[in-house]
This record gives sequence, C-alpha cells and structure tokens, in this order.
Amino acid sequence: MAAPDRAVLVVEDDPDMREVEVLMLTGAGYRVMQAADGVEALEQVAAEMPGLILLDMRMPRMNGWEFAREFRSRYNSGTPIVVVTAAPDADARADEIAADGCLSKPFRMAALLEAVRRHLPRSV
Amino acid sequence: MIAPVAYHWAHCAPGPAKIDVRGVGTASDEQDNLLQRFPGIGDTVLRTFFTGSREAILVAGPFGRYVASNPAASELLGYTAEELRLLGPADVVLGEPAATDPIGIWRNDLELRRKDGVPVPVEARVTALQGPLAVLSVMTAHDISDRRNVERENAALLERERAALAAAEAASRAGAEFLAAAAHELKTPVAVIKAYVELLASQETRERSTVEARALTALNSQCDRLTDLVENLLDVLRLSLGRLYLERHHISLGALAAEVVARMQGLTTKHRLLLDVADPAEVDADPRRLDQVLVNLLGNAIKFSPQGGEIRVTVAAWDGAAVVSVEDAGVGIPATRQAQIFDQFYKAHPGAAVVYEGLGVGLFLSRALVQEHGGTIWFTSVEGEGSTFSFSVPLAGAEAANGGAG
Repeated sequence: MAAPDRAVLVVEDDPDMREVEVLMLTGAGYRVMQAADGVEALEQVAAEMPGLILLDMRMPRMNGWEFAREFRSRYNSGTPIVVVTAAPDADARADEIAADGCLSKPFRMAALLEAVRRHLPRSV
Repeated sequence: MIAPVAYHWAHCAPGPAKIDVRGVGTASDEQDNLLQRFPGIGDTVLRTFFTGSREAILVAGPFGRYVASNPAASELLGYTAEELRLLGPADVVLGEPAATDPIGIWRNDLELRRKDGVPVPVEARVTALQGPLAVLSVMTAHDISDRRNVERENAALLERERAALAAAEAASRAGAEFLAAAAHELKTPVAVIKAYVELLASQETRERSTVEARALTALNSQCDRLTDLVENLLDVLRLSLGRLYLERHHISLGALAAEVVARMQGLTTKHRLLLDVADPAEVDADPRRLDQVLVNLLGNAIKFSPQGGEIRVTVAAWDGAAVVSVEDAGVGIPATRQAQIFDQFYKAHPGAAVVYEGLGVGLFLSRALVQEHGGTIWFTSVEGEGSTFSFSVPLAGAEAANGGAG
C-alpha cells in the first residue's frame, strides 16, 4: 500500500508509549511526527500540518484539552483528532473536545491501525 | 442638690413625644373609671409595677444622675438604690453617650457596667419624660447575656460547619483527581507492555521458537488480565467515592447478551454457552457497564463449573423490566455462604482451585451497577447442583413510571 502523503502526529508524554506507537505506525507504512506534550505538538503543527493527530490527554506543561483548544483557535484545518486515553469512558473524553474518535489504553495494535486508517484523510 | 419633687407617673408611650406628667395618663376608659373611683390607685399600680418589674428601670435627671431606680436595676447592676442616686448614665452606660441615644426605640447593642466592673449586654429602651422642672430620661433594660451566648455559639457552630464543608469538598476534589491520576498511572505501563508484545507478535521476519511464541501469547493475555484487575480496583474506588457514573444509550439487552455470549464462548472449550432471547428487551442503559455485569456472571458460571457443561443465558421482558438469567450446573454456593455473596471482597469458595482468582469484587460491582440502573440482582443456588444469577433493568420508558433510580 502506498503511504499517504499526510503524516500522523503522535502526542504522548510517556516516552516508551510514544516510541511503540511510532514503531507501530512506521511499520505500517505511515509517516510519523511526534511530540511529548501540547507545547511541542503546537510547534510540530506550525512546521507541518499533519493529516491526523493521536492525542494523549494527561500531559505536563500543556495537556490534551488545552492543546485542542489552542489548536482549533489558531488553525481552521479540520485535522481529525483521535483521543488516546487510559480513562474508562473514552467516548466522554473524546466528546469533551469534540474529537473525531477515541482509543482506550491499553489498546491492541489492530485497534490503533484501524483508528488511523479510518480517520487519516486520503491525499487528494 | 436636687430638691425632692413629686413626680406624677405617666404612661410611657413609644416615640419621642414629651409627656405631660401633671395629669395621670390613662390607656383606656376602664382605667379612667377605676382611677376616678379610686384616686391614688394609679399611683399604687404604677409604683407596684415599678418595684416589682423584672425590667431594670433607671430614671436619669437633668444633672446627669439617677433620680430613681427599681430593685431590678439594683440586681442588674449590683448597686443599691442609694448608690445609684450618686451615679448617672455616664458611669453606667458603655458605648455611645446616652444624650445622643435615639429616644423610644429598643437597642440591643448597649452594655451597662456593673458595680464589679463587669459589662453586661442589655436590650434597652430610653424614653423622655417632661417633668414640671426638667426632662427626665427613663431607661428600661434587661440582661441579654444568654442571648449573646447563644448567638456566639451559633456563629461558632456555623463557622465549624462551613470549614467542614470546605474540607469535604476539597477531599472530594482530591479523590476525583486521584482517581484520574491512578487510572492513568496504572494503565500506561500495561499499555506499553501490551503494545510492544503485539508489535513483536506482528513481526513475521523470522521463525519464532516455541518458547517465544508462547511467551508472546502469555504476555498479551496477562496484560489483559492485569487491565481487568486494575479496572475492577478503580471501579471499587469510584464507587466508594460516589463517582461511578453511567453513560446511557438506548440499547437492546438481547443484542448485548448475544455479543457477550459469543465473546465468552471463545474463552472456553469445556462449556457450551446457550442463549435464549425471548424479547429484544430495549433498555436505556450503559452498554459498557451491563457488558461488565454479563461478563461477571458468565465468568463466574464458567469458573465455578470446572467440569464443563451447559450454561444457559435467557433474556426476557417481564412486568416492565428486562430480565437476564445465567444458569450453570456447577458447584453451587454453600447455604452458609449465600447471604454475603454480594459483599465487597467476599469469596464464596476461598482457597478453591479456580483459575484467575480475581479480587472478589465482581458481584459487589455488578450489584452496584444494576442498582444504579434502577434494577435488582438476585440468585438461587444449591450446593453441588449449580446456580442461577439474574438481574433486571427497567425497560426503556418504564423507568420513569416505576420511579427507578436515575
């Protein structure tokens, strides 16, 4: 399968968690950007707009809620956001920031790849 | 020196009016009559009132000294009548000078100084009397120390309650924050382990040894087991903090049961899971939580029929409620252990050789979840023959009518 042009931005403060997500995605042929918190995520987005954002919610410096608010007020890009959370009510977390999808930690690799496949827009 | 002058007592009316004391003031015709027939009786009545009244009465003259006082005033202040004639408002009344007191209104913020120096809080009223030579100031007062004490105690009590409420709210917020942090901290390492295990398992680059293959499978399933245990623990914590919330959707309990049965069947080859859905049983419920209850009941049925056999799940609508039953032909529950079966941390078969012991909170949580939906949970069991666990949830639309819990 040809890799889509748009990259997936992984926002996750736990370095091991972030690394395994990156490995899973690159192994599946995606181009991946990464950030350790909301502040870095905004820097990444300023350099290149990703096609999809996988967003951890509980992070230091700037958490997922704050990032979503900042991101949406600065950009009108319509970039889909998938919330990745350890909270049991993942849908509720997603609804809080009007995200496009949610993924519960711990997740199966197939679930992660399915979420990306579903929400990453095909390049035109 | 004040020349003794005969004062005629007059009716003290409220308000700032100066009152002519040359006549005898009356309040009614009847009183008029009485006084005409018995001249002097007004005097006696008023004198009796003056001496017998429990209100302290102090009459201050134009030279700033008390010209008259009653026994109650002596009792209140600790001075004899003779001592009081040498004193005046300036010596006794604490606070604003008596001269500027508004006439005729009750004040409850005055203090009078007793002979022993102790200030006593009083509620008092001051009236002016126009005498033949001068204006007199009449004060009636009573001790409100008791009232003051009660007010002070109430204020202190209110303050303590406010502080307690604030502390409770802070603790509640701390509890909620702890819950969110605990969920995150406990599940992230498990998520990392599981993710790497899955990543390794997905790599088909080389032949994997038997040990490696088994290791990956075992690691993965242990991660799932740990996740379940952590979730159970967090649920117990949420329940104890009153933070177990439902996210209701309109769902078919029959369809949910079918999903769970199919999933659970995959966990056992020794058991046959049979499903009988008599009605679709539409309910307004949290599918994740009812899934949890069904998994708990089916898991127990499997766990406690180690010989295998059939496990029957039935779903039916009955009397405004959806009823789900899980019936097994396993070891059953001893009669002596049945009463506490839904208690927290209670195990009906402690030390039994069962796979996946668990925390002993499954039924405790199931009951809480069913009750949160406005339903009930019950069971029948005979040791050696098996158990049937059932729960009911009000049908969609029926809950309001039944007055079920929100």
